Amino acid sequence: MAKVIIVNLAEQVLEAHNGNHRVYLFDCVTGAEDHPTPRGTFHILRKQHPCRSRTYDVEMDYAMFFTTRGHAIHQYHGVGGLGIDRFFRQGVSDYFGSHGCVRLSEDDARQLYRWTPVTTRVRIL
Amino acid sequence: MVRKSSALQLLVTAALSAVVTLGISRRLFHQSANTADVGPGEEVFAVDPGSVLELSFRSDRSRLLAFRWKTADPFDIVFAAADGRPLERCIVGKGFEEVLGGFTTIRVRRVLREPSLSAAGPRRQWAELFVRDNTELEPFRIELLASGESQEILGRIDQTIYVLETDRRLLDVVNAGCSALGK
Repeated sequence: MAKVIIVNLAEQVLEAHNGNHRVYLFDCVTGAEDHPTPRGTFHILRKQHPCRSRTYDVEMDYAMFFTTRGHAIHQYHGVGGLGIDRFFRQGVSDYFGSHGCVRLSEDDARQLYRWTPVTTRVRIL
Repeated sequence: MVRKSSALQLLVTAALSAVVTLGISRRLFHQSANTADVGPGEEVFAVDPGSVLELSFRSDRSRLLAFRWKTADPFDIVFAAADGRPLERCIVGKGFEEVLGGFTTIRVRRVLREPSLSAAGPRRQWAELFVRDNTELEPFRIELLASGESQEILGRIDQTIYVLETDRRLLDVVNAGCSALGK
């Protein structure tokens, strides 16, 4: 059965499906207003853990890159955890958010990283 | 009413302070514990071999450079050995495909802890591997060492040393040059 990851930008959730079976449903935080996460169908091009972006000088462990420009699904390392980040993103303004990546909590990022092989399809809705 | 409002402000401030403190301590703890999160069988790096544009390997025994301009092109391979053999240009064969496959999915067997670090040996004995794919991302870099005490390959990324699942035979194939890479 084909694995697929679906990111719902409006709901700020990520689903992982194996065929018709939904395996995971995770809260996520996506790109801010000025750095939106691109919509469309992609594939996991590269996995890397541990991972640090030299461009932004930030950790992005359990990184799974799905665009050639560096958009990835990865662990959120910010102060306060994903819950605070999500509160501001959803409750205050979409001024808050990532530079286009899909952020997950550490546990969720780890589970998804272990479940996902390279070339897995990613749909951003 | 004024008292109620002040109390509410205090409560909100205290709650926010607690959240920030919790977040900072979690972050500090996380940074020190992070390497332990790489479990057995975990990929520290994985990329589709079909998307690789360049693979370079250099050790004190040999240099290997495999590159192509587009993923649809075949690789050009250049090999040089420290033992005085002339520079070789290789034809891609099964040996190179095994090396490419083995170096584009790198799994960890375990993290090497402090007491075992003596097995790592001097830094100059470590080989360097770079893998560049067709993305704008920085190339993946890892240092490799065939451990003298066991049949394992060690991998160093930043300050962490891992025992890898990578087949030690791949280093022999690389060091043998075109006679093995082209087979």
